Amino acid sequence: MPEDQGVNGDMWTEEATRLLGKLGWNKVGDSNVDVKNEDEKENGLDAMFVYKDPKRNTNILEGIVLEAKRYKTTSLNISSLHTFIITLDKKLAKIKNSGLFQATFPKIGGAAIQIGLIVLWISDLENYSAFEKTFKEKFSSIKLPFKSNTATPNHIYVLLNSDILRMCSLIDMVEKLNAANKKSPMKFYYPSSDYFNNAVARSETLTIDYIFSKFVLAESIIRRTENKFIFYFGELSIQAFERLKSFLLENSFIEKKSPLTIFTYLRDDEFRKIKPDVITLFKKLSINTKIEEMTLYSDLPPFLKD
Amino acid sequence: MSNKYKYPTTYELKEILSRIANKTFLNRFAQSRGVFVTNVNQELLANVLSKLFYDDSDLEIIRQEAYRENNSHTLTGFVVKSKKKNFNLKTIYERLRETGKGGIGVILNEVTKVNDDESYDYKSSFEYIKTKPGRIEFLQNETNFFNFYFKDLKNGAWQIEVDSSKSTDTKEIKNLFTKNLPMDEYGLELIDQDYLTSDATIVFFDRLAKEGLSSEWNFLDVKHLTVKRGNDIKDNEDDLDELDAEEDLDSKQLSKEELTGITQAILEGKNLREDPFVRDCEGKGYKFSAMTYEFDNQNTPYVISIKAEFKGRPKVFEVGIAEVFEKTGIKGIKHPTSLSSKENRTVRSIFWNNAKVIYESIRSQTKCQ
Repeated sequence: MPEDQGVNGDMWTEEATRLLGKLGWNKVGDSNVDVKNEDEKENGLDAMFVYKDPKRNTNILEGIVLEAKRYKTTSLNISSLHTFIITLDKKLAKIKNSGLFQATFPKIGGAAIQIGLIVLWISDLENYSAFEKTFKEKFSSIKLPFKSNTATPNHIYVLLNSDILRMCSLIDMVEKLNAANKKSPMKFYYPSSDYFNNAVARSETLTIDYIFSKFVLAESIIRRTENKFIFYFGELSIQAFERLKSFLLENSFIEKKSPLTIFTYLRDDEFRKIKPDVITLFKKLSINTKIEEMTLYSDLPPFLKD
Repeated sequence: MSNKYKYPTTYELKEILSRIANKTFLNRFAQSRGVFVTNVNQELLANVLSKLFYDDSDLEIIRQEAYRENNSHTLTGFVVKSKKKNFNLKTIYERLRETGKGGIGVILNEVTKVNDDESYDYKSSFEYIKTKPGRIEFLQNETNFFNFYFKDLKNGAWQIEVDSSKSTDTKEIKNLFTKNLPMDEYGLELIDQDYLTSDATIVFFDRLAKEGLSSEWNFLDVKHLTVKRGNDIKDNEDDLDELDAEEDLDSKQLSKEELTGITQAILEGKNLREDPFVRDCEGKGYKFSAMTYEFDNQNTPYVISIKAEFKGRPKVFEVGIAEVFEKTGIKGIKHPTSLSSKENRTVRSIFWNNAKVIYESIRSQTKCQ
């Protein structure tokens, strides 16, 4: 059996569920259920989640179908991923407007279901690094269906080990900061957008857009002072921080009275040389700035385990 | 003050992704970061992607694509002639490079000897910044880069071939020489449409169909032909893109039926000037200005469309590859494909050099008459 099914597979579904729960996503119903739609065929679902997208101006929830996959490098190739995506696309198409599906998950409350998330854990970690590079390069070659202009789009996102561990580092940092500041849990910051017609929003939920972004903005009140945080997963060059500064100014995220902490994720020895210059970039704006490193994980952290 | 590292606004990102980049790039860009959207058009996919936040390296990929999409490569060139029979353009260029004579915002890169399989002796590259005022600030300070090749034709002449991505590229390298060399001793020779009469442009494009490529390529079809009135103003070459747009007011694109007649005339080896439509154009003072040819390779399954065009001020001849197809199956169904950058440049170079031979032969005949 190529997929690490059985106990390991179920365990990974639970770990992935814990991960998403820590990002503020709410699980609806049980894991590993078969649901029927109008054509009477059963669709296996690893788990179903909903969250309120802070950027949306309505109360409609986002519904996300989770596919948790656990594989070894030797049993996984790009055509397997292609199959996962196509299967999930078909599944989403069937259940998004299904009354039977809504009946199975009454708590879903009419959520818009157009997001599928494949959380793909490669278990032989010693081979992962070499595998990921070639595997990810082939992502672009996957041909996606384009049925007709009347078929509605489905958004399918794929997280591999490196993305999963990146999220674990973010969760770890948020939990540490929250533990030290129990009165005011950190909230992720969603800038306003004239283009998408949304006002500034703050939420403990991390949306799928943020998971696939190179930085995440957050705020927390610490000793009556609003503190600003950036979880930064991008490259560590001076121009990258110039670009980040431009974004922050454009979106009015930074304020003179609010200390700013940038948590960097990537490791680069050269960054030590330019770190003072990066701090100066923000200090020139009279902003008290700190740069710290996030904890890196090479395997799933204990907080995702039982 | 303009910020060199400005983060684009959501509007700018959306505009670039939906209108400037192409769908293939957008799919690749989305999928390479694990985002797969099914049943989606470019507009909607751009919407999804413009909600994400990017770092500098992602934005550079987007910016490069936006520039690339606007700039498919063309090949053009010119000859520098001197009264001094033994002048050395390589030495002159290296001196200009070392003394910083390129000008502000210009980088002249070093000269390298090219491989023996190339038809040129030396290669170098040129970088310059072009500021483009416009709505999208993220794209305003565009750094242009192009390679150029040069060879000694002996007897005081050097040929330069420019693998350009913008019409302004050739102007930049020409200016380098015209501003720094005494022009009473040196001169530049271009394939310039202004030196061809209306009937000569017809002969020029007609002969290109047969003589533009080597014998392994068979002429198949004329995909596109533009004719323009001949008498244009010659004195302003500041913004070639704008001028080309203005020029279009006095140009005509041919209908499918008219193109079929022209293709037929070329295939049958008839004198193109006897075609009724062409005769009519010639009578009204139109010059042939651009033609897109389709050629079929006898030894490989490739079919290519080559666009040959007089462009800019002065109207200099340039060659680009519009499309490449690979034929598959018994029916020879054409699928879009691409040539490697070297193959692409080689085909354009052969075509341009053959065009130069045709141009010189037509001009020498005109001078004799």
